[in-house]
Amino acid sequence: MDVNEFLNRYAAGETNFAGANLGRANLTGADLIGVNLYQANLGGAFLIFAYLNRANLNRANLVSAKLCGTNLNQASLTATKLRDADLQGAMLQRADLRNSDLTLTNLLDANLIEADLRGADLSGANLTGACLRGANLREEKRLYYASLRGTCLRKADLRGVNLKGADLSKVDLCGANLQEATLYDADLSGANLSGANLNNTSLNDAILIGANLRKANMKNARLQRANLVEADLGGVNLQGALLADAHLKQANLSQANLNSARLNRSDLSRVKLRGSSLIKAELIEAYLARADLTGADLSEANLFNAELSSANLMNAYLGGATMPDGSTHP
Amino acid sequence: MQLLSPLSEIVTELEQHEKSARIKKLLVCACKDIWESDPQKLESFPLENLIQELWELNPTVEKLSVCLGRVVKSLNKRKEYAAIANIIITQMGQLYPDSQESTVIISIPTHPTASTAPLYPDQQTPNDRQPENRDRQNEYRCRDYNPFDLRLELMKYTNPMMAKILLFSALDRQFTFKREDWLTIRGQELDDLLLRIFRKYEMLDILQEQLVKTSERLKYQEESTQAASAIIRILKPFYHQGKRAISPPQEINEHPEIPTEAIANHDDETRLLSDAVGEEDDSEFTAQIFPF
Repeated sequence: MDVNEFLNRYAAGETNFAGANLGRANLTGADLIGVNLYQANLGGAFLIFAYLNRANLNRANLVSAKLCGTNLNQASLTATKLRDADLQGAMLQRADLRNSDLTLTNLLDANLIEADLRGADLSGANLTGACLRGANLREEKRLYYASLRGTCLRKADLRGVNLKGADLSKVDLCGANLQEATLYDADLSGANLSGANLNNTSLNDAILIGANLRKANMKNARLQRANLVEADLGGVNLQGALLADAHLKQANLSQANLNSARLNRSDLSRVKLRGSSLIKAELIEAYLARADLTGADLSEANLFNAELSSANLMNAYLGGATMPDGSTHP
Repeated sequence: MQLLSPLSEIVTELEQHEKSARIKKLLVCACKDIWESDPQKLESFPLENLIQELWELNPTVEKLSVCLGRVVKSLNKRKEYAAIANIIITQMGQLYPDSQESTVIISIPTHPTASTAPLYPDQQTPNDRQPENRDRQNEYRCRDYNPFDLRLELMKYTNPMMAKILLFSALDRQFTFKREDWLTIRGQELDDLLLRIFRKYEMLDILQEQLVKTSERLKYQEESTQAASAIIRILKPFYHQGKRAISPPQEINEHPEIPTEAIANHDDETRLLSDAVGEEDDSEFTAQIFPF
């Protein structure tokens, strides 16, 4: 379809252009609010700063389209092909992107507030700096599961987002905001979460094997039964965090803040806690075989029934701590 | 947004409270540093977001109390709003498990003697027992520079791509909308551009002038002027009496939450006080949100 004809017909009040062929069309800055482009071909089209608010783009082909700064607020983009599209700074607030193909898309600094991304394929997409507050990535059925393999979520804002059970293994979440997010049962093995904000985040039963959590802020995070084997938690802030029954075997917790953290029954064998602060931490029945606590501050910590016999306590401070036998350390 | 259940309960409680309108006004003022009386505009601030924001800004219930106390102090209906502040503190106290409400409730003297009468807690720590001195009253506290919250605010009110283009043009060079500029801006992040402009301009009027001038030269002038107004609006709370009130964070890449609790001493804070007000009129206090 000729671009001018399309724009003239739209200006005259026509909105239904389902199945139209507008491949590589230049529609930069066009006002197309509410247009119906169901199953249309817009492959490689230029839609920079176009207004496509509330448009119907279901099943449309937008492969490699230029959508920088395009307004797609409340647009319907279910099962839309957006592979390799450039959506830098695009507005997708409350857009319906269920089952859309977003592989290799550039969503740098995009607004995805309250977007529905269930079942969307975000493999290899760049979501650096994107805002995803209130976005729906939740698993309902396995089929409806957002795929995030190789997705870059550096500094993305995922505050309060429900990512229960999501596969985020090896995903780059460096510096991301995951405050109050739900990551219960999520797979974050090998993920990069360094410097991320995980305050009050729910990570119960999450898999964090070998994850990079250096200098992450995990204050009051819930990590019950989480698997943190060989994770790097150097310099992390876990103050007040709940780590009961967590697996921390061979994890690095050097220089970490674990004040008032609850680590009851956790496996801390061969863990590095050099120079860490564990003031008033609860370590009842914790397993500390060959744990390195050199220079750690354990004042007023509760170590009742903890396995400490092979732990290295060189220069550790234990003033007021409850020792494994129930006595109080002077 | 996934809310924690205590938060949802608080939101419900406050929403259904008979004084819900005043509660919202006080929350908006505490979070956004603006006094908003227009019911439609108030409607645009979701209560749960305000509570979450206030909670985040105040890590302890004591800080929450001080924060709300300052807002109340800046109003002329202090007695009424002190009661509203107490309703908020009582409810939000549930979000601070280790605090005791009784130690932080704001009280107001029965007969306030002057418009600058200090607010003080019922039970104070020994250090606070002294009457507030002049310096303390004059203290101006800015909210923290949180790049995530700024980005969220910006994205709600303008096109992030246009904001980037405008900031890039104001900082580096005029964006030409040609291929090479698109490639360049692909390597720039909104957070960084925003921080760079905040660092560059110490005076709000100069920042504003620069952004407006830049927007007038750009293609899509309507959109870029709108982006300029949104940028000014979100950065304005970091300026006091036209001057930057906090030291800009040095590095945002490694630390997503920048601890920038900066306090600057300035002249008496009277931004919300108005002399000509009617007692029954709730819309008495006006604050300029954005001077365009």
